[in-house]
Amino acid sequence: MVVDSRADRARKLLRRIYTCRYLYFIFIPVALYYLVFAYAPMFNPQTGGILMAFTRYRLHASFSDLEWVGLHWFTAMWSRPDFWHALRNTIIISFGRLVIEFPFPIILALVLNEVTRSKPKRIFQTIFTFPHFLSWILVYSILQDLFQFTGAINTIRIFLGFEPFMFLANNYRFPNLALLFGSSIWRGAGWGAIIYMASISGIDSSLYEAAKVDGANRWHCVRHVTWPGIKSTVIVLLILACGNIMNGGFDQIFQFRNAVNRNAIEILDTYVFQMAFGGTMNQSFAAAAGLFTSVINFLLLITANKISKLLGSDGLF
Amino acid sequence: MKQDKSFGNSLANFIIYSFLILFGISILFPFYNMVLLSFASFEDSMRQGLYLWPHSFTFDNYRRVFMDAQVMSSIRVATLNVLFGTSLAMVLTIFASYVLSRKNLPGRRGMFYFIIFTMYFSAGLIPWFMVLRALGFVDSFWVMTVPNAMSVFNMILMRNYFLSLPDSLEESARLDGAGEFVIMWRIIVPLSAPIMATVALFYAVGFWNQWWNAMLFIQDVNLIPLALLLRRLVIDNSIQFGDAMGVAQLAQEGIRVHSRALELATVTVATIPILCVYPFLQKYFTKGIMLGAIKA
Repeated sequence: MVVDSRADRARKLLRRIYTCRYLYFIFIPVALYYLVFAYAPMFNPQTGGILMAFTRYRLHASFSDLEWVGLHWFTAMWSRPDFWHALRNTIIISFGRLVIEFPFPIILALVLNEVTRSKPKRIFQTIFTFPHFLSWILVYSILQDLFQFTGAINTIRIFLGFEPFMFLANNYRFPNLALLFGSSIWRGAGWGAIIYMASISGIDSSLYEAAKVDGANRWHCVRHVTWPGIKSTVIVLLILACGNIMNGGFDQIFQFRNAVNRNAIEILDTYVFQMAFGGTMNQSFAAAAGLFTSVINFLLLITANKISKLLGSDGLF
Repeated sequence: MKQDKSFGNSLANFIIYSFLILFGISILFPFYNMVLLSFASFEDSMRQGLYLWPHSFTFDNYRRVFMDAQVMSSIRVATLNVLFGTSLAMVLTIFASYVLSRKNLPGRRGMFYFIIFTMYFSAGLIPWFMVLRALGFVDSFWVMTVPNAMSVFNMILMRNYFLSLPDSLEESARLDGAGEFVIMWRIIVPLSAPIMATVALFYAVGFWNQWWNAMLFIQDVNLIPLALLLRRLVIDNSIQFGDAMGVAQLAQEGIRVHSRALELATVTVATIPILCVYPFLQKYFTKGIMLGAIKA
């Protein structure tokens, strides 16, 4: 009686759906929101959505009237040195962030954890986390005053016998990256440390007791109890950070970028913006570059997630 | 526990505290510098270099900032964004989190992936821009809130919290004949005060800082929010404090203000609301907010 039981199951499912009908009603506004603001851009019948990257876009023309150019914009992109330049910058900046920015919150959490008195610990944490809530516009505005040509940092440099330096407007790679990474640590390290603090607080305190009985000093405890306790969190976050390699940090770089340092810190996302809204206004080309970034990003994330699952962690999805 | 009084331990403490204090100073000093200069007189703003302690104290810069019609209008726009955006975002986020936290809802996995997918793949800037333009969002007040009304991350936080609530409360309400809406508003939401506060404050800060949609879609100077005004004033210098009325009035009183001090006063004005809500937020940070397993 296979058929019967299948019909039975279908009836049961329908009944469950019917009892949940109000939940589906509640979900309608949410679904509409995502359909309009996330899915419509992908499948927009008027301009073709992501297919726009394969057409020659004209203002106020409907998708059916647009000329289909295939991979034209992609081949155009690959023959442009400025695209390769932006791609290379993106990868350099992302790797730099992995090597320099990524470890800082871990160190901060480990050091904060060594503060045993709860009041100073809370005060430190409050100070360290605050800048995360300021937008990059505010952060840049605040730091600009210190780093400008006549600002506090240059005053100290002159005092120490160095030449003043245009921190905010130079086209050398190293000083620009140092400023990007430094300000990013300044803004985000405290926030990033929270997750490691949470993971440290989950370590069984009897492990520390046992280590002490065995004659371990503080360094031994950090090295052999705390570090192993947070290692899995570190690995998961590291893998997820690797999935983000194509994002160089648009919000930050868009504020730091100016006519002088553009070459040193132009990344793919700012390049897309530049192509779409600055000067040339080639929407199809920008859409192609944007689609390229989205697809690579998506693939990287899926891969990163797979790897973190293979290593036995929960992964993200 | 017995305190270790050895030399090595004291040295370790010294290094630890030095590191933390130095990092703390490096975070606080720029704010100190900003506040100090925002109260500095014209002459002190002219002087360049280090300005470690106050030489002068004046409210002129702030008076000038609050006289500026453009600044006041941008503060109004930013405030309205926060009020409207946060309300809308909270309603949508509660709806989504409530529905997706019901354990025996057929198809909830699919609904969850429908939302999650948008976090990992986006159409990109241009197709998104085209849709919003076609929907008439150009120069519209709503463009700064409606298209950003939901964050998947906040939804997941709230949903995880809902999932952690005991089922029994809901079941007894259901036996009393309560419907989904009543359970959501009268039982689940009041029981989730900490996560409601946290998510609402995340949204509020986000809308206060919102500038991107405004930059792309808004030309009308009366609709520019504070964050974007700051960007134009301080970062790309495309506008200056140029409200003739304010300048004239201050000139009449014989007061001169320096543009650098004005800029920093405006930055301070934009920072203060965040500073005020931040202590309330901070309370909830460590309570397992982060990295809740994002699983369907």
